[in-house]
Amino acid sequence: MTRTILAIAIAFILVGCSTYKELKPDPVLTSAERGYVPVTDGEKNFQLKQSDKYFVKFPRPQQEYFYLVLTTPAAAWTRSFFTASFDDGAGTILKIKDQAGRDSVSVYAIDTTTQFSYWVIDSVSKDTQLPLTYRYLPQWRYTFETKFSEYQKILEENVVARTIYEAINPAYDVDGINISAAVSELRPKNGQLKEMHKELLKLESVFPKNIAASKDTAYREYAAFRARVNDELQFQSNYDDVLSLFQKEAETRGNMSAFLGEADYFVKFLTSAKKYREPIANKAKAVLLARLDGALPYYQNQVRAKEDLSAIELSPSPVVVDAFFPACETRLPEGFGQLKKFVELCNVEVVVVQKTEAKIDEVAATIDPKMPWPLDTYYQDALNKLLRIKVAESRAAQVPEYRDYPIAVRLGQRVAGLQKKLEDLQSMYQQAATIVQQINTLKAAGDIKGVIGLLRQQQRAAFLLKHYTDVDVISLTTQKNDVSARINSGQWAAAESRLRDLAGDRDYLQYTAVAPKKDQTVKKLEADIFDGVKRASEARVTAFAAANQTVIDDVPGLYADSVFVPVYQLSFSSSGAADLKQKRLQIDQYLDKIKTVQFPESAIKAIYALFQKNPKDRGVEKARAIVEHGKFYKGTDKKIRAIIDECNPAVPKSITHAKDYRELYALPVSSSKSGTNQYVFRIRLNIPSDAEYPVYDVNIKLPQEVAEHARTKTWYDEITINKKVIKTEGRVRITAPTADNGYEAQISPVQMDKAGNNILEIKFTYPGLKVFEISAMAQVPIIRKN
Amino acid sequence: MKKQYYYVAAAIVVLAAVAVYIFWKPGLSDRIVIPYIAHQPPIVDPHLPNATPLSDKLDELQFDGLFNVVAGPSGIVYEDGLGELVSIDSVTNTITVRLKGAKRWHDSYQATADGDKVTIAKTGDHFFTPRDLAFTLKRLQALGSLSPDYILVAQAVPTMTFAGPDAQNEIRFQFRGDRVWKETDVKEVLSFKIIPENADLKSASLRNGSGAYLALPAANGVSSYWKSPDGNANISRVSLSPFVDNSTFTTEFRNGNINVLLETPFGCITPILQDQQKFFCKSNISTTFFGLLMNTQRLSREQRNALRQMIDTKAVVDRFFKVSTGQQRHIIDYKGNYDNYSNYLNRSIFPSSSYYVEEGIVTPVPNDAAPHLSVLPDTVRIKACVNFGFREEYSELIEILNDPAVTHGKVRATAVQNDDIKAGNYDAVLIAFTGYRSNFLFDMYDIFFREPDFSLYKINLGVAGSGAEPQAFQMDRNFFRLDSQNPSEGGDVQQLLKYVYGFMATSQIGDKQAYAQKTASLESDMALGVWLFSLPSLAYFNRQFDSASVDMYGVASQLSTAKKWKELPQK
Repeated sequence: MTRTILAIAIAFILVGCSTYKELKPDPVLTSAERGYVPVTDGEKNFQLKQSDKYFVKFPRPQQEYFYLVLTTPAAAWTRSFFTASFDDGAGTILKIKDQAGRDSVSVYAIDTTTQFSYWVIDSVSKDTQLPLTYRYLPQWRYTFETKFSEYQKILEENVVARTIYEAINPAYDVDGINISAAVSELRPKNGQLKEMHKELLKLESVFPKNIAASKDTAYREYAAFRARVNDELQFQSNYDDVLSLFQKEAETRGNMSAFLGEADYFVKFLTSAKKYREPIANKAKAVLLARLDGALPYYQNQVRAKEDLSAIELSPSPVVVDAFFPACETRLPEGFGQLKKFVELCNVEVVVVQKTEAKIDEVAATIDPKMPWPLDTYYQDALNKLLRIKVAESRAAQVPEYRDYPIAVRLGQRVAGLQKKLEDLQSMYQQAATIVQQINTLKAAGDIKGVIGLLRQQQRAAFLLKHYTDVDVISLTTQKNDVSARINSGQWAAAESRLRDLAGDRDYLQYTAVAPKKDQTVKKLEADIFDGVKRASEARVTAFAAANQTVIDDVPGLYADSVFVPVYQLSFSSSGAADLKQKRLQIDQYLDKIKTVQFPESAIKAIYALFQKNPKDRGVEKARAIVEHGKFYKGTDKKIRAIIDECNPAVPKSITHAKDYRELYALPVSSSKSGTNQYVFRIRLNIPSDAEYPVYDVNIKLPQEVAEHARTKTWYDEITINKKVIKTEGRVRITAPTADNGYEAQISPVQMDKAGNNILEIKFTYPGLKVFEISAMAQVPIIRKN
Repeated sequence: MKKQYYYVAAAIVVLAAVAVYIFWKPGLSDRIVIPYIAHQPPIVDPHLPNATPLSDKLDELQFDGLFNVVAGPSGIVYEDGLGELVSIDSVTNTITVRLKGAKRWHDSYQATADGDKVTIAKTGDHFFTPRDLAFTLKRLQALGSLSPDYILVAQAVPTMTFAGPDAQNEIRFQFRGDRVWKETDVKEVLSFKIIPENADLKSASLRNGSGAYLALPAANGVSSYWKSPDGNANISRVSLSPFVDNSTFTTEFRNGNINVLLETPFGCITPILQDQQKFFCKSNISTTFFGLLMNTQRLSREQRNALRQMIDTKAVVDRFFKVSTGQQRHIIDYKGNYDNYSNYLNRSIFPSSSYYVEEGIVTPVPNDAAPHLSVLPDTVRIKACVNFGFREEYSELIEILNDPAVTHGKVRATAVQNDDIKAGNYDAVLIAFTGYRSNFLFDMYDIFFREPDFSLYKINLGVAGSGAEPQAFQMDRNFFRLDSQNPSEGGDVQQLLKYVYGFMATSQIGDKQAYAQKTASLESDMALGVWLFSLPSLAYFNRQFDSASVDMYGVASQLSTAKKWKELPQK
């Protein structure tokens, strides 16, 4: 119970707090169509308070298309709107437009889809009474009532006088009518009436369905008014047509094209002549028929003027006269029939000729005159297509009345020309097909020279040469490939023979054009032969060198091998004997370089590497082999020279820096494998010195096996400096190599030649054949006080 | 009568004085006393040779090198002086020497001498620095071939410079790369004596050294020496005692007025010093030779050759040493050979004792041809000045040369004054060349470029470019009276100039040898001198010294080991 009371209280409070206050009229509002009814709160007007907001609910009308009209003088202190749905101002409000637009009157199109519509006062500027009336009425009525007088005025102001229209007859001089002035008056008025007529049609769209059967006064007034309007509009339309017809006729006089251009208008007018007064229709026929007499000559002139072989297009189309004459109630003249027949024939034949020529051209287009080396079917196929094409005679040129017309003449000529073109092509393709087959047969046989000969005979088929513009090049290439193949297979003599033939060959279609290329080819092949011979010689000698670089027996025999001569001796050069000589020299020089530089170099390096690796393994033979290679070596590689010298006991080993020990080999100069051999090593002392008369102490580290008996026996046979024997006497001392001094002998002092030609030679004997490693050093003695 | 009393009284006084002197004279204990000729006081310059033999020997007392060459019981040894060898980089030939920065120069002390009383007072610390070494090297470079030390150093360090020192006071020499430098080689090269950078080079004698003995204030221009407080000499004092000439040296030695006699008259064993209880002797290689230098202005080459052939040097030597007579002057060499007179005969400008003859670099041509006396002038006038040492030897030689048995009556030899020599009034002049070195560094300047004036020692060498100026050979500037402008011999004179300078200036041993040969050969052709003989070198010592402490060997300076000499305990 308490809860119920509380809810009621809250609801009351909430109601009391609403934003808009509903004004509930008494008596209740009704939607019946009647006059203006006051909206009161009993006997009194409603009181509005400043700043409060109000609304009034209006019931929906009984039919569609109704207006609610409200009038109130309080509009000056209020602001209001009308809406189909309202919820105390909440949500989106769609306001209905006020159709009146006046302060004290408001007209709203009231909706039939909602139960109520709402007139809402959302602003009151001061406390005031609300004297308010309302009225429900159909919209057409409201509109008609408010605009009828205006419509009447429009009609009255736009009525056109019917004097001229009524006066025209076959005898009437229509040229006396000021058509321009009449039209100027007529058409604006007609426009005003048409606008009003549109509004009336719009108004009619909201008429109730059963209005015609009603006795509504307003509607009857409306219907009468509408009939007057329709009559005036029909008259004005007819009058305008008549004026236009005569105006067009007048304007196209002397201009048949323009006249016939308006033919449709004239025919249309004439075929609907019943709309107009009959005298007017008769007058029009007479005037137009008179003008049609010039139509046929007009078209014939157009045909006569046609000279090109395109379709004849008459302007305007002569079809227009087909209806024009009947519309004038007259038969079409016969001349028009012949004219149209001739035009049709021409237009057909022009197309046929064009299509035939297109077919011929299409076949011809399949022949590419530059198609290289066409197949046997190339021309034959085209010929077959041509044989299927026929050229028809011209019928247009045979129409008697028109056969002399330029276009008829031209057509005849064109057909004849086309026939000849077809026959010529057929003949040419026939010939070409035969020759092409022959050429292809020769080519298949590799007989390019035969092809060239056949082509050279074809004076009448010179066009064929374009297919074989490369025949000279092919001939050249064929020969070139022949030579190249022989080069590649190492047939140097045959290759050179073919090349010689090629160089002298002048059998070409266009020798002048191919000559530079041929010369170039010959040069290239010459170079290829040269390179080939050179490479083959190189490969052979390189393989030989690689295979024999470590051979140490019979080294001179290696250099006598035939690998050091070319694989083929060149005998031809297109540039002459000097060039040939130069090429032969070049190969010879290369081989000579291999023989005298590269082979000995590689052999010396390889053997020396083996020698250094193990001097005890046939070291003497290796050293001697290096020396033998060195006899053939003409290179400038100082390292190679140094190796050769190193292995040659006859060559002194240079010592160019003081105090630095230099390794060298003592080698036998005899060759007793089981007996005693004599050994020699030579040292060239060439040490830069400031002294004019340099002297040095020379230290020589000897192998133990050479020096171990030096205490009891002289270890050397002879020591010389520049071939002068050095002995232990005077100031010269030769210190014995012993175990105590590491088997190092010293010769001191050794007087030197400043120029550096100081050859110290030491000979000793040893019972064996081997290589000894020696180390030597020279240094300057010093001046001492003591 | 009264006058007679005066004479008697005076005689008594003199006798009394003599008696007092004899019996109460001061002893020579802790003292080395060496005689010198009063008017030839030694001039001490460690870098230049001097005509007075003693001069070069005193260097050893007073100066140190980086390393010192001394004679030891087994031969030459090298001792650290002002340096210590750190390393030898045999690859880069870089020699690293640590300098002894704690070594003081003698002027760190003030020495005063009042008779025999010597007081050494320290006045400050003048330490040896690298600047002293650089200064010395620079001086050697400036002296060039005049200094044998320059030749020694330049052969190894041509730039005469060094790098450093670093924090360890080590310096580095960049030696030549033309040989393997052993330690002894390095020390030999770096054995030149070092003088301080504040040395007074204008003074004839350099007094400030760093050696074992410091120079006392000079008396009559000659210093004696006192052992340096920083040194390790055994004997406290080295005194130089002046005498009129060398004729009394032996007597003075015997009488105990001197206790070291570095050269004996005639270089022979002297009879009056035969008491081996009192004396002992030590021999070393000759340092003096006699020669007749011929005046090229007065004798033609033919005449000079004739004179050379005429003089039989062996006969002269035999006469000089009175061989095979009762008065034979006996000799002994450092090798122990007795009376080997012929070994001292010289046959070329290089004495037979020299390295160049001994090693066969110079091979003298035997003078066996018969003399062409007819080409000689009636009298060949040979002159000698006996006032500058070797009085007895000169006198003996003059007598020998005047002997017709020796010179066929063609020679008139006389003793003359120095002015006569200066004026060139001689056909030949007899000269004793002293202090010659038998090693590589034989001094050719001393023979050819010496000013012909015995009262001074001046070498007339001018250097232009890489050679000697021709002016060195002007007739009034050398004993031979050689003149490069001489129309007949000018070419040879100029060639000789080139050879002599080449020999002296080169530091290349080969060049040295070659120029030695060329010089000897050309001189032989030109017949400039009669190279008589060398004088044996024999030193006597009083037995107050321990003979075992006195080492002399070969060419080592006689005083190189003086600091090691010891006295025997007095009996």
